[in-house]
Amino acid sequence: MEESLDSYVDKGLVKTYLFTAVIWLCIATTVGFLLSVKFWWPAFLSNIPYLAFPRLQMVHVNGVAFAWLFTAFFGVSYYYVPRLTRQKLFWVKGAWLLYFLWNFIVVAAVIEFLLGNNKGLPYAEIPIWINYIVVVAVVIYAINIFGTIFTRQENQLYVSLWYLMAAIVWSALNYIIGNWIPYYWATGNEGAMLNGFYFHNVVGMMVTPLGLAIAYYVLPIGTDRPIYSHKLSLIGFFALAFIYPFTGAHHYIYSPIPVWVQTIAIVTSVLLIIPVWVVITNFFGTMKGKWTKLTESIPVKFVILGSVFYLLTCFQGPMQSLRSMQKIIHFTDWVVGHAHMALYGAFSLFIFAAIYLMWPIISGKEMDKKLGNWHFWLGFVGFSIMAMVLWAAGLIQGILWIAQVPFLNTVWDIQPYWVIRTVAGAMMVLSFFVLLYNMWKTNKEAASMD
Amino acid sequence: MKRSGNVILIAGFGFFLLGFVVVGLIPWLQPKQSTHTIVNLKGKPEPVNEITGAAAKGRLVYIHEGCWVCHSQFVRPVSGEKQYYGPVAQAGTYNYQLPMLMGKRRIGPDLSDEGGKHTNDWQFAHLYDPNSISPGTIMQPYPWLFHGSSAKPTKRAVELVAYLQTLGTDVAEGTGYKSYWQYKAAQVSAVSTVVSNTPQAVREGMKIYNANCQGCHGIKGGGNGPAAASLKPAPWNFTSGKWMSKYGTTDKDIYNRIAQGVPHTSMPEWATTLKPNQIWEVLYYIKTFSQKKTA
Repeated sequence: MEESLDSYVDKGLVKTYLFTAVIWLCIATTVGFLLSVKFWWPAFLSNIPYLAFPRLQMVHVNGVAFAWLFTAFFGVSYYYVPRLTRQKLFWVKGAWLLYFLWNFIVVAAVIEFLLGNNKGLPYAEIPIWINYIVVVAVVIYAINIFGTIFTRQENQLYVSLWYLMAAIVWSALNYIIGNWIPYYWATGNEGAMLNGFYFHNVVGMMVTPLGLAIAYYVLPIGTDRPIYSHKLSLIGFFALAFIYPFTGAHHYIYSPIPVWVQTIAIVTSVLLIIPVWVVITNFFGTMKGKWTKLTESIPVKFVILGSVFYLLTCFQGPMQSLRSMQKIIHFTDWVVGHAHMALYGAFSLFIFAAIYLMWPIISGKEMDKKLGNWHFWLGFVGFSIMAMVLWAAGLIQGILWIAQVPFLNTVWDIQPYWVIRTVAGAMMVLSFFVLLYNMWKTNKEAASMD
Repeated sequence: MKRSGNVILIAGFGFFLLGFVVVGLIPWLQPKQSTHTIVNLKGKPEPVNEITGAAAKGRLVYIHEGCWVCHSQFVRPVSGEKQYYGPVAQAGTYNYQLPMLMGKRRIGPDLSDEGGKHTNDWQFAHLYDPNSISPGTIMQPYPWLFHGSSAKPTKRAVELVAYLQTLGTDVAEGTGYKSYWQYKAAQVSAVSTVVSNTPQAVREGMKIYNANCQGCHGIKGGGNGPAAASLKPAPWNFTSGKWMSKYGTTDKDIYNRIAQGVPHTSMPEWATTLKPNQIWEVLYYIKTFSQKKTA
């Protein structure tokens, strides 16, 4: 049975996608590391315009989000969609076309950023001519996935596929709304509202469903038992779909956008606790009686740690959207810590889990477990230190600003925290290189076995 | 079955578009959202000016160089920002802006009311080498906007500074002042001594001086800080007694110079950045420079 499921998957395709994704991860986070050095050593690389802080910052943020996460999401989905539908990929050539197109998009965006070309909109910085190509890429991907799902041989539509289909629809709508309207038409306040709408939905309605689709796929296989409750999956999905689109304005609390929009954003942000806790209950329920897997199986280790961080992020998020918290933490390093917990802590870990699950099957050889553990612990410890340091620094900044301490003096006070952040960040980057090496090594050894 | 796929598609579209309409489109229809009028510093409604010419080009430089990555442009009504940065953000200020540049971080300070806060000289010196004016700052230097020295800005630097000088000046329209800072400086009246001249106060003053003043006035108060060469007229030398004679010798006079700034020079007002007790502390520290000389 396993063998027959395997035959639906185009292994070379998945392998290429994942390996490329991890290379992008290493590059984007190395850029993040350079940025962290600039915080306490501003002269570092500062006289080369192409390596100016703001330009590298855009490369880091977009690199992690679009080059790493999305390439990986595409790659992982080309593995689980054929298996869950018992159907070969609808359009394999389209998947390869997307591969080249997507990498072209990433390279073009990086070059544009280094040249200083950006739209000036947070998280929608990618220049408009590239945005057109992204839409084409999403359409190619959509044809492939919907084509496969609509011609499937398996009657049941597993929850991962709901999330995936919905995410494709949301991505297309959100990307168009966020990149075109505030750039060409929506001025001032309206622009801010739509920008908040867009960039929270990038996380909430694009990355979250794509990440959860992977977690829902990995967990039952890793623990070798079905998902705890299909009813909970259903509630979690629809609660997410209904609540998330209203939360975006919480990035502009106390700005001149209408107060009622801010209030809706805060209320729905707190409501997000419902879909998140439902999903987490489902995941932990699946683990019931299988907790020993946590020490044995690397995929389970990653997916459970990811779930814990997902729970923490999505408790922190609602709390920090409250006006009383916003007074202190808005504009500070705290928010950066929060963003890393979502994108690294939850969703990157889900992808790592999928990689450790899939790579042995698509390469034909078990991965080095020791290196896998190094990856896990270096990343976990490094991230934990980094997040704590950023939260502490954010609170200190916020409180010093309220105390009206001159801005420059507050910069001096935070400096030591930024040094620690660099060390912790280096541990995370190192962990990604360990993963890359592990994948490369496994693949090479598998090839020499044949 | 196939139907469940359709349900998901419809639900996905439906909820998302509902969200877009409620928090995206309905606010657009509110007249307050698209107003081009703000309330000025004297409480009267004033139309906002659309920026044109060099300043409009400077805005593109601001986007290109990614200034918006580290600097926000909205002052919130909370957390004492009003006292620190200037008037609270009003909807009308933003409605000519495309794309909006409210920003998301304060790696550097908010720039909503940067217009008129510093002279062009100061801005050029700061862009060329931020560390010369603000020692220990983590701001990125922009030497590529200059022909080798802060005295020789490129056209793009001139445009960028022209843009910065327009920021937040609309609230001063119709008040007889050019900017919020000029208005604010005129409001500062001599404040009675809130801290007495103790070694503790001098130490506090030194900390503030070293962060905020030494870039121009020099670490030892000699008026020869790293940025001094770019500024005309040159910053005051505190080590001889001469500097006091021009503006009066009482503590109150000195206090007002620090609090209000000095018109037509690069000395900005500090009443917004520093609290009265901090200004007194700096004042006591400045006085130690000339005392050492005479001693």
